[in-house]
Amino acid sequence: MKRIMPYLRLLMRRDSILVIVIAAMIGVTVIYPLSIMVYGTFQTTPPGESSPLTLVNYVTMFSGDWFWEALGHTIWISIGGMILGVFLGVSMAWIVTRTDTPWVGKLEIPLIVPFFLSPFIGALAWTGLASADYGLINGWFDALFGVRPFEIFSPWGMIWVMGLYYSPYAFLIVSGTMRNMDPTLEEAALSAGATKFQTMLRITLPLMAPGILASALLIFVAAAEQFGIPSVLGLNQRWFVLTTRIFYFLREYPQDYSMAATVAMVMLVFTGGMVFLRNRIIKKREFVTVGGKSFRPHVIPLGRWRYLTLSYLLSYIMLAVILPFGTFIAISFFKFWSIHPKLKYLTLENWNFILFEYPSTWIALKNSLFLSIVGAAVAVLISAVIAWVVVRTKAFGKDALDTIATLPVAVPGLILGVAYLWAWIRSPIPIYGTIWILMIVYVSRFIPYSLRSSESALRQIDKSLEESANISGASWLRTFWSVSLPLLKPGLVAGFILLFVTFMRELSCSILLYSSGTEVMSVTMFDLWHDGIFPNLAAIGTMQLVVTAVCLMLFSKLFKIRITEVVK
Amino acid sequence: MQDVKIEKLIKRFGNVAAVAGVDITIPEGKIVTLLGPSGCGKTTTLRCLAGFENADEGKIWIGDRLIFDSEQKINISPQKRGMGMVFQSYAVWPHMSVFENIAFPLRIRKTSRSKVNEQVERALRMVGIEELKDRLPSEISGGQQQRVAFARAIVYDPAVLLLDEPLSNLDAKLRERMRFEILELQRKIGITTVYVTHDQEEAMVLSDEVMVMDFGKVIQRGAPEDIYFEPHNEFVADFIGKINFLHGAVKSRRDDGSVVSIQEGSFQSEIHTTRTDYAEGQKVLASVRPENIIIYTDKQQEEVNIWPVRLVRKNFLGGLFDMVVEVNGKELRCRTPFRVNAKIGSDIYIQIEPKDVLLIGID
Repeated sequence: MKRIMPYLRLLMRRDSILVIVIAAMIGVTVIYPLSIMVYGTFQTTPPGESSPLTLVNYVTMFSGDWFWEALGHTIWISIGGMILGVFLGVSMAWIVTRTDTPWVGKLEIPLIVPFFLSPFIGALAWTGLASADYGLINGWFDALFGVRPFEIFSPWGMIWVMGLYYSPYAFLIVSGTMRNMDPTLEEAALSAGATKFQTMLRITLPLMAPGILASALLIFVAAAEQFGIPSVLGLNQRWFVLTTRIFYFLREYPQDYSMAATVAMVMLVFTGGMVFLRNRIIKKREFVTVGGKSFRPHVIPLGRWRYLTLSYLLSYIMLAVILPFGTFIAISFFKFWSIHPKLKYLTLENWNFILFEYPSTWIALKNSLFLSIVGAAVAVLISAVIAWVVVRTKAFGKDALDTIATLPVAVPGLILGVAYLWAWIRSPIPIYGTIWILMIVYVSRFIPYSLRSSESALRQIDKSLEESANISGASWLRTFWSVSLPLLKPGLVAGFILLFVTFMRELSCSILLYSSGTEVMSVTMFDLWHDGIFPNLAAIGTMQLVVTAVCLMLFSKLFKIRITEVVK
Repeated sequence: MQDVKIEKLIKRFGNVAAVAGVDITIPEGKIVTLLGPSGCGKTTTLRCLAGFENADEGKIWIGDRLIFDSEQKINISPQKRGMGMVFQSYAVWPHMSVFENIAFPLRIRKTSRSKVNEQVERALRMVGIEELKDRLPSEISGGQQQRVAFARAIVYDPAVLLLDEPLSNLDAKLRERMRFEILELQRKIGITTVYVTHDQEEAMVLSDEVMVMDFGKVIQRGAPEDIYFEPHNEFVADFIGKINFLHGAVKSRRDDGSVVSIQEGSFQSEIHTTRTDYAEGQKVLASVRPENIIIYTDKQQEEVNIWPVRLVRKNFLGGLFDMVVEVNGKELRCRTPFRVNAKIGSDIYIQIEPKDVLLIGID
């Protein structure tokens, strides 16, 4: 007994208790459902019933052509989206940070707008532009040349939309590293006799490589776990990727929960491996390139070419924001949409329907706002506490806590959805079918994102600020509340806004876990899409865009933070 | 002759002239420092010399080679100027080993493999870090990175070496040691060197010649001792070392010296000096270094430049007393290596030899 006492005392310390409470929370919300799902892959019966353990699901899956086809498709569009996204992002980062292209200061905000836009709505909007049947651009080509060259309902269409809406990841990461790079590193090469080109090839590019590689893997994983884009652009054509295949198993009669879980398992291993790889790369090749004196990085004078680079940036904004979303909003005012939309079909009927007749609209709006505001606040608060425990205390098991809390990064939303189905659909705890299951799945899925920003914000706050509160008599709780939290505020607000936007557009968890009365806006749009009612959908999508934008403006006023700071 | 010559150099940032007409010659094989407070234009001058800033006006030569001329629009790019540079942040490339960092300039010059090895080894030996050659920059200390930067700058035998506050990121002890090492190295390879610093002690130790800069201009140039003992104006006198200023005007001038009447509030007196730089009636600062004020506890027989004072403050710095005395409301700083037994508040005497009184003319 005497030998256990010190350990027991260690466990009874308040920070250790905090660790245990949080770990238990994560255990219930992430690890338990995933374990049940893994168990489900060895079952042939739906959740709640039990059959003898068997490998039959894996055998069926690995011997089915459909699986290999979906896997191939996933890899195909992920690699395609990654290449396009990285190319767009890196080239724009270079133009913005290192050339004398005009207006780059003014374009800073428009260039990151796609980061806030939902790729799902992006895919929907692009159908209005590049569908072979009713795409506007095809209409223009049809009128001019008599051909309709584009078909968005294709793998290339998916790659295109993914590249457009994931390029901001690469843009933000790479432009950040480019801005922070010590310019004397390049000057040293120049004065050592290297030409500008040699310097770029042998100094700048290698220094950028970790950032580029990290953003490439990030985009790859994001594209692989995308559900909205391949469901809009592929489901009707029965062109499946892994995520839509999982969805198919759960929605088509006869439902096959076991097979969904088994395919989900493959995805989990796949994305887990990728995230692991990415962390290895970042850890191994993190260069400290921030220098002493702050001279601006060398700007390359482009001469007349700078108008070309400017039009490149403008084209991106045009293609990612103005054209698709302009079209999308326009569609909401048309009775029919075709390659040559006719003014006589202009109508307010869609809006009338959405606002006053369609029963789900207001329920979905209310649910989305509730989940986004409360959910984001809860997630940020929890991650602030975890960050504080990890960074500031010597609590028992804090590093393990950090790892566990970051784990959901590697779990695609749809897969967590499958896990939640397995865990809660027949559970005696009556949570399935309520709004709370959505809240829990949102929070636990996205805590890693706010956790990382909270941790880095906390690391930048000198510990002595807290220690001086302690020495003047404040308890640890008081210190956290009156010193740490206010100092963390800018970081936390940024995390909150980011999560708010993410939750507002969340589709892949919600699509499996909503039920009548708890639908959110993305889900409503998804249903309308598969009912084939595009103009009504466009109205509700426009509503989602407007509400999100208004909230963003309100938050930025309320918390006195610029939107560009959110993504830094 | 490979002298570096800068002529009428002007560099503006917006409306501010960071460099406002600098003329400098750096004799071959010498080490010249550009010394001044931050914002004085020393770094900008160096960066114009390196080719990283594009000067608005002026000319720059290395020997007979014109590398910059605003009129003829000649501006040789940095990589063709054949200079070596050590940056304040060292700028050691984090993705290359120590060896590769140093080898880089040679590889750019397509030097043969055996030659690269030989020259890098030599440079490594010279800065004393042979054993670190396979390490990454993140695995070595700041002082060692500094040596890498140095080796990289000299490995290809450049005509000119530029050093931009290379020691400012090191701790005091290491900084002091590195001064001597840099000087020794410079002497060994005899490279023409331009050294930028805001640290006057560093400039004193290192330079063949010091250029004191302020507001984008070279205010005074000369050997370190001359700068210290014969400052031409108030700024230089004050910036280099410590000094006491006494406002006054030349009362009379003879061949062997002048007498200055001092007007410092209620301290009205006369001071004798051996200087004859200024005519009668000229307003001057009679300037005296603290170490040239002699302290007496008893009344002395001398007749000139002696005043009764009150000891206001006394600090023992170890080997040196640093004191403040007050005479009719004017405070003077004194320094002496001799033990001073007087107590704070006691009445003592100070004396200044006429040869130690400098005159600096003011408007």
